[in-house]
Amino acid sequence: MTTHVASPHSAFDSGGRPGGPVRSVIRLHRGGLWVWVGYLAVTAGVLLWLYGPGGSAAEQDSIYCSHHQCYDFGAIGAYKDMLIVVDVLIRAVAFLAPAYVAALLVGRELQHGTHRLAWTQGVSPARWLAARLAVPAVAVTVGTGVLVALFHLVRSAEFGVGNWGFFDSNVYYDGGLLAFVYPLLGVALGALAGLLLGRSVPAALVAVAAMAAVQLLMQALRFKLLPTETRTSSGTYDVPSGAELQGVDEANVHHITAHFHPASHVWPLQFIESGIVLAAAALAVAGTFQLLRNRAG
Amino acid sequence: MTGAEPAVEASGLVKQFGRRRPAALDGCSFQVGAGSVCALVGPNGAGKSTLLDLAAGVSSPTEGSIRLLGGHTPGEVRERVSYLAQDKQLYPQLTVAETLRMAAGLNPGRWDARYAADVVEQGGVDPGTRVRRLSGGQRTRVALALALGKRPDLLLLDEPMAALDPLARKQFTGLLMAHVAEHGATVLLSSHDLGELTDTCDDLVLLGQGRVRLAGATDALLDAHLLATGRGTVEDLSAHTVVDSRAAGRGTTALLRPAGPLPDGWSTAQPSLEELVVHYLGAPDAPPLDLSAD
Amino acid sequence: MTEPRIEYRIDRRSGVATYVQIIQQTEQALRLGLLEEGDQLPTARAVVEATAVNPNTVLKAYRELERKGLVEARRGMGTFVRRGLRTTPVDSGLHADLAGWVRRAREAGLERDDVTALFSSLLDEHFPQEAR
Repeated sequence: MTTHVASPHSAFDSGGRPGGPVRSVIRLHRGGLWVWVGYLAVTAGVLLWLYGPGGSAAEQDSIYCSHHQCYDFGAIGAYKDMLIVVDVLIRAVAFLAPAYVAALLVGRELQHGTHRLAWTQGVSPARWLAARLAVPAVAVTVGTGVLVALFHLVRSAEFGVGNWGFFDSNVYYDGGLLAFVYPLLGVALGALAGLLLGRSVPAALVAVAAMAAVQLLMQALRFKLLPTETRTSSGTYDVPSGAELQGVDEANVHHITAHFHPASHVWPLQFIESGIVLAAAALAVAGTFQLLRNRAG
Repeated sequence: MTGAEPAVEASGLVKQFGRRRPAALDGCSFQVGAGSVCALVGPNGAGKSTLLDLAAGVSSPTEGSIRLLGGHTPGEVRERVSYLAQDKQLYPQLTVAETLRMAAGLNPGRWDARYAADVVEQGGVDPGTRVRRLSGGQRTRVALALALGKRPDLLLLDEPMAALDPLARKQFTGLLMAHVAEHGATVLLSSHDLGELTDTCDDLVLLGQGRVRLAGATDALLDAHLLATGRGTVEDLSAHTVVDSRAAGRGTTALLRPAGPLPDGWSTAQPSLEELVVHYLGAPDAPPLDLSAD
Repeated sequence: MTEPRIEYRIDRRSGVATYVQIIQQTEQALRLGLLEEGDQLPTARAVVEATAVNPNTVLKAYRELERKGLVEARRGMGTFVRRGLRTTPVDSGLHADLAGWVRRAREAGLERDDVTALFSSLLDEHFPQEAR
C-alpha cells in the first residue's frame, strides 16, 4: 500500500526548490528568452565575421584600392553593409524590448485575464511587476554587454575601412552607454504601456511610438547637452582631430569661428544623455508601480 | 450569518468603468459571515464578476470599501484568499505539473503540493499535459487545484462549474465542501444554477443593476417571504410588501413579505430558493432586503 | 480505518430537506441493523466530499440525531452510534409475513399505488401520532 502511494506524485515533485516570481517569469517566457539568445547569436556572428574573414578580405581590397581608383569595392562594400546590419540590429533592441514587454509580458496577461491568477497568489502584484521588469532588464543588459564588447573588438582591429571615430553615429550608439540605456527605458515604457492599455497590440504600438519619440527628441538634443568649444581661424575653419563640428560662423574670410565638441566631450555627453534616459525610465517605472497600486491595492 | 467576524464586508461599493457607462456596482453593501458558503446570484451584467474582482484585489473600487477576514484590505490577505475567475485563466504554455510548481513558488509557506496533486489526479488529468490541450472540465480541475492548494481561508469563485458535466459538478462541489468542512473556510461563489445552490449555500446575495437586492441566510430569507394565492387582486395585499405578483385565472399569485396575517381566502406556501430568486429577478423594482448585517 | 458503514444518497428532487434525508437514512440503517452501537458515522468531510452538500447541513443532521439520543459526538474522535433502533430482527417472521401479504395483494390484482395506499391507511390507523 505505502509503496504505490508515493509514486503517482513524482511527476509533481519540484525537488524542494521554491520558485518565486522571477522563476515564474523565466518559466513562462522560456520561448522569448531563446529568441533573444538566437538574436544575440546572429548579431554576434555578424560581428565575429567583421572581426575575422570579412575584415581581412576588406583589408586586402582596401590595400588594393589605395593603389587604384576604386570605391567600396568587393569586400569593402560587404564589410560596410554588415556594419550597417550590426548597427540596425543593436539599435533595434531598444524597440524590440518595449514591444515584447508591452505585448507579451504585461499586456497579454491583462488581455487574457491571467493577471487574475497572478495577482491573487501569495506574492503581491508589485513583486509580479518587479519580476517582469527585472528579468528583461537583466536579459537586455547582459546581451547588449556581449554585443558592445564584440563591437569594440571589431573597432580595435582597424581594417582601414569604415568610420570609427567615437562621434560617428554608429560608434556613438553601438559602442557607448546608449546601447544599454535605451533598451532599459524600453523595458520600462513597455511595462507602463502594457499596464495602462491592457491589450497586447495597442500596448506594443504605443510603447514603440514612445521610444521613437524619445529617441528623436534626444537626437535633436544630443550635442546641445554641453556647451561647445570654439576655435577661430582665418581662411578656413579648423577643428581638432576627433572633434564633432557643430556649426561655423563666418564673420568674414579672416574670422571664421567653428563650434565643436572636442573628443574629451564624448563621455560627459554620453553620461548626461544616459542620465536623462535612465531618469525617464525610473519615472516610467514609478508610474507603472503607482498605476498597479491604484488598480490592485 | 455564521461566525462572529465577517469574512467579507462590503460597504457602499461603487465601480465605474469609464464616465459614460452606468456604474457596474452602484452602492453595494453586505456581509458574509466567517465559515459560510454564500451564493452570489443575479442576471448577467448585475456586477457579480466586478464584485469578485474587487474582493480578490485585482481591481479597486471607485468608491466604498471591501474588507476581508476581519477588517483587512484584499491586498493584505492575498496569501489567504483564492480566486477562481470566470475564464479559469491558466498559462497555456505550461504543463499541468509546471503550473502547480509555479503556484508552489508563488505561495511560499502555504502550498500543499500533495493535496493539489491529488485534486488534479483524481480528475484523471495527466500532469505532463500542456494546459492549452486540456478540456474545459480539466482546466477547471487544475484551476481548482491551484485554488485549494493554497489552503485558503476565503474562496472566491466566479461561475466555477460552467464547463462541467453533472458528475464533474458533483465532484467539484464535493471537493469544495470538503475543504470548507476541514478548514472552516468561507466561500463566495457566483452561479446561475439555483437548484445546485440550494444544497450548498448557507447564505445568498442577490445582485441587480449593481445593487444588493437580497442578502442574508437562505433560511432567514425564505422565512421572510410567502407565496400567496387567492381569489382577489394584489390590492387586497397592500398591508404587506408585495415583491412580485401576477394574475392567475380568477385570482392572483404573489410573492410577498408578510407584515402580519393575510386576509381570509388566501392560501400560503413557503417559496423555494429558486422561486424566491426568480420572483425577484422578474421584479427589478421590488424593495431590497438585507438580513446579512445581523 | 474501517470502511464507512453508511453512504448517504441525497435526492435533490424529493422535496425532503437534505438534513432530513440524512437523518432518515441514518435511522433506516439503525433499524436494518446496518449500524450498531459503537459504530462511527462518516466524518462531515467525508460526507460532503461524496454528496456535495454543505457541511453545515451534515452537522445539523448529526446534531439532530444526537438530540434524539441516537448518536454521540466524542470530541476529536467523531460521531458514534449510542444505541440501535433495531427492535425486531429483520429476519424474524414479520418480513416473511409482509412479503407474503404483498404477494397475495399482487395476485389479487392490486396496483403498486393501491398497495401503498392500503398500507399507508393501516399505518395511519395503528400509528396515529406519527401520521403526517
